[in-house]
Amino acid sequence: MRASNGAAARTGPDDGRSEPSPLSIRDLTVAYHLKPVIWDIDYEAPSGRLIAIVGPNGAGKSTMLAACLDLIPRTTGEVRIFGRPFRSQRGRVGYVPQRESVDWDFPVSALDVVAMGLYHRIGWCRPVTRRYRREALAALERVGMAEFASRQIRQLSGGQQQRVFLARALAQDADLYLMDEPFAGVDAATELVIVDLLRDLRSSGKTVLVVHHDLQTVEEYFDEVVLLNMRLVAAGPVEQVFTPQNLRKTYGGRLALLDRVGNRFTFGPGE
Amino acid sequence: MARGIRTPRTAAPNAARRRRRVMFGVMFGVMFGVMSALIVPRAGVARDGVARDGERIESHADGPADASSLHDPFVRVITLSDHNTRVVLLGTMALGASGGVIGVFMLLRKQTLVGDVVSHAALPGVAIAFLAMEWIEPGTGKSLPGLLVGAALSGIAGVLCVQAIGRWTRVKEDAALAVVLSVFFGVGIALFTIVQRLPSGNAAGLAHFIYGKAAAMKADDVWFIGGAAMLAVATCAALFKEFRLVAFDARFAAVQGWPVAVLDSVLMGLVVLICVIGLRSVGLLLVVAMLTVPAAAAQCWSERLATMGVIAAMFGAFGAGLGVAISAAVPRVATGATIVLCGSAVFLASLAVGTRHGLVWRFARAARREASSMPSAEEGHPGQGGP
Repeated sequence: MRASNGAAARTGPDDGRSEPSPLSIRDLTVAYHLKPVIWDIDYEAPSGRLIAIVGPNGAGKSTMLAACLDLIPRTTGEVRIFGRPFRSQRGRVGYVPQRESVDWDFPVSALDVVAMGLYHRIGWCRPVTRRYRREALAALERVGMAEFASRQIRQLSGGQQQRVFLARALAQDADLYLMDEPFAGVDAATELVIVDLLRDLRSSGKTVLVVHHDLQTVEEYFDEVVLLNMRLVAAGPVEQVFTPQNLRKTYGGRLALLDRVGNRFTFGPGE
Repeated sequence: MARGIRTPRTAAPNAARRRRRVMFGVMFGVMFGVMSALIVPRAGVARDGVARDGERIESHADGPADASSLHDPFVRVITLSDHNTRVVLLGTMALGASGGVIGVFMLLRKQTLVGDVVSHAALPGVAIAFLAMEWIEPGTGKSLPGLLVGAALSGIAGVLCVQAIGRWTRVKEDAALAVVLSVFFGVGIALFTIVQRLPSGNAAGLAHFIYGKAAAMKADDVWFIGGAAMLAVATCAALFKEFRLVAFDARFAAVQGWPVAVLDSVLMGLVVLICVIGLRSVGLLLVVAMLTVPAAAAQCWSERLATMGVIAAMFGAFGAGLGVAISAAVPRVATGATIVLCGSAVFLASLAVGTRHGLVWRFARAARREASSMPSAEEGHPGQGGP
């Protein structure tokens, strides 16, 4: 497990200055019970950018992340992380699951949760020693949660819980981050913290893919956007791809929302 | 957990922490008192006695000091003058402690009912093992190791059936649990009626597997149970971090490359182990209580997983010890039932006064809030009396 860490992988044979894309997806199809959820996705993520994955409910956004992380079987297709299969690159990928995916009544403190991001480095059967607790605390500090380290996680607000999850991924010190709706149901303060953190990650050369719901903030927060509705509708820099036409194609009949976004495009400031 | 790092404890009111400590103290004080009354042999009472099953274990040349108290069964238990009671007590306490620890992880993995499936599914295994051993060599059917191996195998088969149904059919997990449990138990009962009809089957005492009979434990069994319990607890301690991760967030564990299925299987194996060694003493109907009741009670006391494990182990040992003592003192009371009842008493007490959402505290807080929202009479001055 530890051998698959970043350092070992970086000295791989296909190294060189032109490192392969952090995430490249080819012909990816995932089906549950013969019903396709995502269909024939081809995508190559540029390095060092903040990328939003946008699409209506049930468009397969989370499924796409899960398929990239080997959490669900791929029906067809191939996913490469920095040019290699995910299995050999686990140490370079940080994952932030949806907040609702766990039981927040679990008897652990915020620090315990963050330390989970270090478990693969600690290794089998070894305890979380002071050195790792200190690292976890540093990660909590980066999301402004150090003072809540010893709190049981149920006693945190939704936004604080989300920050704990982010800190856990930060503790991994990965090169590619996949985040499943980190902005869902968080307070304004947390939203600011997360945005700052994303920019921080970008400036240290990390690539971040974020499943995002709020179309209003896409332009402000992200560099690139992936529009997904079972198929890949469009992908690329926000200013080129995030257009009313593409959104209409992605969201289909849900016009009320679209017209609002469209209006912003047509008459908004900066047009 | 955060030992070594000084983290500011925000908004952890001192009063609440003090109350928690006091309640811990009271609870464990009561438990410790009862246990020490049971375990510490009372001075001045002769240590020789006749074991319950009539076999003479040890005797002193001095002769009985007080014949009347020796024949009082309760005194015999209290003083542990029976070698047999001591053995049984130790064995079930080890079982209770390890059951509590495993139970905490099962509870948090939301798999408590799997223990029930394992124990019920063990029944046909016991019957088949008996029949097989009788068939191979008549008269050996009662051999305990053989029966337990049979129980373990069919318990595992039951769990595998549940997993297979969940994986390859559209039947939901709770339905799968119920179906497997009843099918295996039905098969087991059917086989038992066959066993009972055999000339050797009647004497085999296989019915004890259903209701449990701790008094039938022998010193060898205790070594076996103690070893198994140690193994279970040691495994939990070694894999503490991994079990915690998988129980809290299995998806994240999988992404990190931890073999979630393997860790789940290890935990399941420990459950099978506890169920199998618990079959004889508490019986398959109630062995699941050894896994769930102490863990559920511990949940009322702590917000730290490690503390929860320790508390569950103590509760489990305490309930088992008290249950054995009572059932040894009161004739014709099934040990398994008594153990579970004692555990339930601990559970109810924890629900009421547990430091984490204890009902008593909740009512007290509500009452206090109500009192403080009203204009308080105590604040009035002495000379408040009417105009």
